[in-house]
This record gives sequence, C-alpha cells and structure tokens, in this order.
Amino acid sequence: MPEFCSPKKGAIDLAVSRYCLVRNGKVVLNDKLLYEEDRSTDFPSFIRSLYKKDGSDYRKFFKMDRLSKLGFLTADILLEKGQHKPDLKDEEIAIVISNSQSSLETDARFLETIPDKANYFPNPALFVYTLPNLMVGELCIRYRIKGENIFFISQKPDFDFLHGYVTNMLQFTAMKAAITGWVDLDMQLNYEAVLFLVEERNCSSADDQRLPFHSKTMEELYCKQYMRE
Amino acid sequence: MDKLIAQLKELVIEELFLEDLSPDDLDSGLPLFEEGLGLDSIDALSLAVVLDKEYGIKLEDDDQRVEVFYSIETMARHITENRNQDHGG
Amino acid sequence: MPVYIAADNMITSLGFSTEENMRQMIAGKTGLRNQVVGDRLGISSCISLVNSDRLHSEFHKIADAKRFTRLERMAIISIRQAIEGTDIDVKSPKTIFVISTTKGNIDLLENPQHPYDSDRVQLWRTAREIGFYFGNPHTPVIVSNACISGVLALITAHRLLESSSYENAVVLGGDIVSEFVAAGFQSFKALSAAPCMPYDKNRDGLNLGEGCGTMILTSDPGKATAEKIVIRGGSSANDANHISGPSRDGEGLYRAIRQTLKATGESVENIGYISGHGTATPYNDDMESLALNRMGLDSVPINSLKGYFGHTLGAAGVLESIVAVRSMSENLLVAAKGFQQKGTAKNINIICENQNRTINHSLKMASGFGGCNAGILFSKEGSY
Repeated sequence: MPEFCSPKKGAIDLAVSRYCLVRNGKVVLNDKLLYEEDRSTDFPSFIRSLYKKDGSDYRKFFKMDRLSKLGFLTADILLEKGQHKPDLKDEEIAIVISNSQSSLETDARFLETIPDKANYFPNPALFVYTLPNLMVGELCIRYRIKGENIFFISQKPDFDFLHGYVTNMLQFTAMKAAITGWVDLDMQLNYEAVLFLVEERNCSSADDQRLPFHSKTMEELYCKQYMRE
Repeated sequence: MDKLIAQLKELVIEELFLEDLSPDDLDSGLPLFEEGLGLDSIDALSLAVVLDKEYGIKLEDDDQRVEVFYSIETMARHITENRNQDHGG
Repeated sequence: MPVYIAADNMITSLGFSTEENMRQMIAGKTGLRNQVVGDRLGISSCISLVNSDRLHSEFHKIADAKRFTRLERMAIISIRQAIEGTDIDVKSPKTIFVISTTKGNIDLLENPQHPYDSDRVQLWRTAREIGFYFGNPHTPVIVSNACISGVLALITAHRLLESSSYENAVVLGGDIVSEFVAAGFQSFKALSAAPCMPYDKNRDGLNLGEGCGTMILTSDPGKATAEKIVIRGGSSANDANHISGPSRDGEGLYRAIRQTLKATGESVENIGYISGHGTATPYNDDMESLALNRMGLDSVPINSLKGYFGHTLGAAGVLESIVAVRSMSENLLVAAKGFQQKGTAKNINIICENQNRTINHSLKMASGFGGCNAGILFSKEGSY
C-alpha cells in the first residue's frame, strides 16, 4: 500500500474528535451503538429508516444517489446535523474520502436509462452522480465546507495513506480540520462507511480525552468485531 | 386536476429517482427547487423531457422552466392550459 | 525540497508524443471531428479520438494488446515513452505511481461481453494492471475527482515527494471517450455540435476527448529536465453551492487559486501564463473570468486547450499541465484554438495567436462537477 510519511513526531498533534461507522444494519457513533436494524435489511430500506431516525429533515437528501445518501447520513450523524462542525472558517475544513467502487452502483443505474438505440433516454439527474466526488460535494453544500477536497480509490481502505495525506495537509496547508474515511457501496448494494473528524489538539493530550489520530486507531475502529456480525 | 397532480407526483419521483419519497410525502405546493427538494437546473432538464414525452409540451427557455417547475401544482396548471390535445396521456 | 519535472508524454488525437502534440497545436491543428461515438447507441458528436490503428500498431510492438483495455494500452504506451531517456527506475520502491481517471474502463460496464474479469471495470484494478506492467512494487494512488482529478494527482504526487515519502512519481492521467459519458453530457445539453470555442462570445458547449498524459516527477535535480521546472504546490477548494453547475461568482476557484499562490508565496504579478479550464460551456468560462478578475489575474495571458483535443476529463489536468510546462521551457504561448471574440462576464487576456514570451511561472487551473476547483503552480528553478 502506498505510504505518506508522517512528519516528525510532535510536529502536529491531531485527534479524532468523533467517528461514525455504518455497516450491516448498525450505526456506531464514538463507540456507542446508536441504531440497529436486521443486517439482512436491504440498503434502500435501511437508508430510508436511517434518514428518518437521523431526523435532519434535509430535503435535498431525496434527490441524491445511493452513495451520496450513505455518505451524507454517516456525516450527518458524525457532525450531529452540523452541531459538531469545527469552529473554524469554512475554507479551513477539508474532506478526504476514499472507496473501492467509485460510483459504479449509480453508473449501472444510469446505463439502464440507455439500454439500446431504440430506448435512449439518458437521465441527467442520474448522470450527474456518476462521479464519486459528488458525495463530497453534497457534504460541502450541507455543512458549508469549502476547503480542500479529494477522492481516492483503493481496493481496501488504506488508513496508512489517509492518515499520512491528512496529516501532511493539516500540517503544511491552510487546512485545520478534516473529515476523512471510507464510504463504499457496490452494485449488490453491500455498503460500509466510516468517517472520522480530525482536528488539531489545542490542549495537552493529558486533558484531552479524544483518540489520537493514528492509522492504527482508524484500522481498529474500522475492524470492530461487533460491526462485522 | 387531482388525477393529473397524482400522475405528476409519480412521474417526478420516477424520473428524478426520488426513491425514498412517496407521492403522499410530496406536497403539490412544495417548492421543488432551492429550499424545497433542492432540485437544480439538471433536474429541470429531466422534468422538461417528461413534459415533452408525456404531454407534448415544450418549454421555451430557462426562465419558463423556473416558472413552470416551481411546484407540482404549477406544473399541473401549465399542462392543463397548454396540453397538446393530440398527444396521449 | 523542490519537485522537478523529469519527463512527460502526451497521447491525444494529435499524436503520440508531447513533441508531436505541440507541433500540431502550434500549427493550429485540431483533432476534433464529427464522429460516431462507439457502436451501440449511434451517438454522433464532435469529439477527439486517439487514432485506433496507431494505438494498435504502437502497442503491438510492446505487448499483447488482448491483455489490456483501450485505456490501459494508451496509459502503458504513454508511461513507457515518458520513461525512455530518463534514469528513473519505475521498479524501485522509491517510485510511486499516481493515477488520475474519472471513468476508467467504463466501456467494460457498457459491454458486459468483454473478455476481461468482471472486476476489471474497477478503477483500482486498472491501476494495478498498469503498475504491474511496469513492475512497480506499490499499489498506485488513484485520484478520481471529476475534471480536477489530473491537477489533484499532480498535487498529491508533489506532496508525496516533498515529504520524502518517495523520490520519484509517475503521474498518469487518462480517460476514454465512451458512449456512457457522451450520452450523459448529451442529456445535459452540454455538448457543442462543432469544435468548441473556449471563452468566446458564441460558445455553446464542450467537446469530449480522450487521451493519456504522463508526467514523471523527481526530487533528484540530476534527473530533472535541463530547464529545471518545478511544481511549487497547489490547492483545491469547494464552491459548496451547486453540485452540477459552476458557482455563479467563481468563489471556489478564486479560493483555490488564492490558496495556491499563498501557499507557494508567489505573487500575482509574476504569473506569466495561465492554462485555463475553458470547457466552452456558457457558465464555466464566465465563472473562470470572474475568479481571475477577483484575483487580479485578468491581464495574464490565458488559453484553453480544449479546442485542440477536447475535454479529456481525468487526463485534462495532466495533459494541459504538460503543455504549460513545455510553454515555459520553450517560452512560447500557444493560441487558444476556437476563440474568436471576447464573451466572458469579465474581460480576460486570451492568447489569440502563438507568441514568444518568457514565462517563469505558470498556473494551471481546473473545475469540475461536485463544486470542486483546483490550482497548481509551476516555476523555473532560480526564478523564486
């Protein structure tokens, strides 16, 4: 896996302020199981009930594609409908997300609108979502996040790389906080999302109960056994 | 008009892939763009195709699109006033 | 530490090398033609296609064409050509591949009867095939972020090298023209039926293009080109406004450019050339002019290359950066093909004919769906 060398220890002290995992019908926020449905519940039903449970009443949710809905709800729970958006300028907050499937689930649905020459009705409302970074765009609009954004693709979550990239960005650019993680949805509607809110530590780590921002931390949270059952 | 509104709700949901919305959730007076459902100019293109395909109505330009697609109700009114009688639906 | 450009290659409708492409552009040639896209849907469009016969014969010399998809073949030829004549060891663990693409092998999704594994349509799989071919030990970094992917890939590679994570980077940007994308843009009514006219009063849409661009970067000055051109840095920003249309005031692009200059400590007055995004859609080009005006960059010579080889999506940022770097090494401004009359919201200084000019610093900018914007700065070493 590619590696982004972290700067010298102590150069920048970052913490995971909050994290949210969504997988197998479960939603976990900061180690607390927030919501649970039977793992056999299909994705569209699951995401519909999660939207109601989230209670954001964000009407733009309805026009999003499925990948964006997954990313949006995971972020909405992470930020608690924006209440936990870092107290920084909009342009100082970045989003660095990755997945393996890109927007393939939506791509396949778009192709269904153009099956052959005689049935050629390309749907613009779907086509617009045939890029994975549209999900990031939706988050930026919802929370007015205007900083750097980038979407990476990898076969599996590469927390070493994300950690290195985000650390480098927060140390050497004007960015001061980031939402980073993995939001994936395949053509069989298997889904998983894990998002971390990363911020600079402003006080000594002794007083700060937050988890340190390490790739190991992210890996451990992502691999939580109970999320796999 | 009620039948048309019911039909339009189904068409809008289908065409824009609003799969988590049921016709009952979609108030006919709800602004479709900006604060309402947050539809945008791309969605307006899809709706224009629906208007043409189902009701034989072509819209002139962006301004007309904004006016007609304000809500399901304004769409229904425009269709009732301008429907091409030879066109099916 | 400085990150140098060591080599590059361009594959577009205009040719299979940077030199060939530059020659054709300088001669005012365009690779845009009215053609049918693919063979299933009968979509006719003004597009820029890489010559398939030449692609076949070039690839035939080096490997079994059947093993690789169209995009992969283009990518492999491009990287091979770029590496030739450099000392860069692509098999070394000190070399990382960074790949930019929006839709990868999307033609495989359109045509399920293809001869490859089902996961070949995955972007990570395409990248792996390319990395494996060259024997590089790392999983490539893949950036897929709409039309700013190429610029972001260069920024990512720059940061990887500057942090000493690696010594060399092979940055490849590539996309093919597909029925999938053509149908989509057609549904947006965003395509022009004729060769596009970036920044022009009568512009009416974009043309799709395909191609691959490779930039080889290195932190070793001994491996850099004689002109010693460096990537100073770059930035991105989101409009946070609309997912499909560019922002009406260009705020995101303005911030991306401003942040690029701030981060690199370069001043507006020293920018000698801007490679615009210039897709020739009414809104995009207006938005760029607003952002440039706000930055005080409206009198800097600017062009768009979309009139030469179309909008190559994931390849655009890399291909167009290569031309920016060549413009610097040859001190030559290339005309904005397709432009005739000013017609953007704010006046900008569009290059109307090829001209010689010393360029020490150039800025590449890009914008894309999802409200994303990016900028990257290239400079001659010793000029800052």
